[in-house]
Amino acid sequence: MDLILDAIADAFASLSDPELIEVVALTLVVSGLAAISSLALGVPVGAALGLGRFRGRGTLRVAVDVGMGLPPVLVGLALLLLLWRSGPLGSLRLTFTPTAMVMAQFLLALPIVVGLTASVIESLPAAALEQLEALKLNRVDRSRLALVEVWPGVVGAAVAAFGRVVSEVGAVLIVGGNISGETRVLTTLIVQESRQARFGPALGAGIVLLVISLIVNVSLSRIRGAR
Amino acid sequence: MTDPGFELVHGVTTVVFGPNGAGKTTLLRSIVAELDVVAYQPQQPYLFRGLLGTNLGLGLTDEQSGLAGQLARRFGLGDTLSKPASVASGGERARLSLARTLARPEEVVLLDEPLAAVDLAERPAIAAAIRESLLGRTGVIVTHELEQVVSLGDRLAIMIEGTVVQQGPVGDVMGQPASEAIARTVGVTNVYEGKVAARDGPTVTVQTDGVQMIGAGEIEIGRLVRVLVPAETVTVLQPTSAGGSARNRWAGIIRDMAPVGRLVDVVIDVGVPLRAILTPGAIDELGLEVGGDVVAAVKASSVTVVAQ
Repeated sequence: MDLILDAIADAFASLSDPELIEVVALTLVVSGLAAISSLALGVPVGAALGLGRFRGRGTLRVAVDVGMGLPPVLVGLALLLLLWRSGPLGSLRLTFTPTAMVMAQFLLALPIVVGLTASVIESLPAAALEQLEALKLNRVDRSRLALVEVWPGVVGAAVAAFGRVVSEVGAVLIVGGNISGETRVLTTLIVQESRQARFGPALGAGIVLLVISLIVNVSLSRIRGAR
Repeated sequence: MTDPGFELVHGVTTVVFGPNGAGKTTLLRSIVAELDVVAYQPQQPYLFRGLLGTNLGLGLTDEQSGLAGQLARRFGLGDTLSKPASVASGGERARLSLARTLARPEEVVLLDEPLAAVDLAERPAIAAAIRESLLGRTGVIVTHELEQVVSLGDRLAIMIEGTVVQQGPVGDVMGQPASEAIARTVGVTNVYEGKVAARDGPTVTVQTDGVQMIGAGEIEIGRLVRVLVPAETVTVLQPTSAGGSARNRWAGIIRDMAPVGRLVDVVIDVGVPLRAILTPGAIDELGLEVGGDVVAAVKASSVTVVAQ
């Protein structure tokens, strides 16, 4: 019991650690950029998939569904192979950098954004889809109108994407390397501290992670509630 | 348009009429898919987030939006355009979508039940606007209400179980159903064109080409109208019989009698051909025969007068 009580006490003490603040900042930057870039690409693609009648739609849908459940370690490994010095993208010198971590999380978030956006558009009433056709808008305007119609669902996709990347550890650990002061984020810090039986700081990082998730979820739910 | 047998006649408005589930909406959708360049109003108009005014302009150029605005004001939507679409009533949705669809530039216009959600009192004015907008264009309007057939259509196509079973000018199809099944679906209705000659409260006197008819309708004098006289509402009397409450009494000669199922379709020349549906018992009792003189009587309340 003492172990747990001590860990909790240490956890709160560790919250003022300057290193933790640095880690929190990097976590927010990496996961934020990954989520934003996945939204920028994934929302239009998801809209096209949800509304679309184009060749390869079925294949894309299957790919997206598979992508939504991809193991993060596998994504990390695949990206590491691509970025490795002697790999196809080795010349970019991106291994063990925050950029590589953003790329890994982007790949994890993208199928979620595409899949959820397509699903909310497909769930529009049949009358709405028929009316969209009847309005004879160009593709961009049609997608925009459909997205505005389902925007609370798109906000849900954003929450899901951020939630997925901010809490994953496998991919960022592999491509980022958990280098102190350079590529260490909250999840890899928790792994690091737990391995060394420093449960207090690990728990402290966990509490921060939980608070971040909570803040993001609550604010986005409020935005949706105010529609 | 060979599948259900529908004939798209250019430059006129065809009303597709039939019972629910006859395949009318499917027919419209197949025309949309086949021609692509059509203005189409689905049966359930859907408004998107935003204001009614924003919805009115969707898919339209500035010039077309101006026209849609004029139609919207004519449809009584002038004050509602700044309202959020989410609080619009069913009637407002229908009128707004109709204004937007009619403002589109395509030559072919397809409307699925355009007046179904519109209040009865507003229908004549909106029907008139539809006819004006479709003048010279190719219209296809789906409805399951007979009165709209007469107010909106030049031609009529009857659909039963996915197939167009009869099509032609409105008066021809309504007056001469090609089969018993069609007669059962639409009834046999005498349709005449004429002009309102007099008006007396809720009834009007219409001068047709051959006979005066008194019917229900509040339409100003001088307007061109169509007059509907359902064949089953026509009473046939001996020429000597007098009295009765029917306001329409026309002397005539029986031109034809033909069995329709268990009933008899009697064509009487009263100045215009008038069909009556009688039972064989009534024929025997009255001693009716082709060439015989009779009086045809119809109550004014059974005669519907619709502005064109």
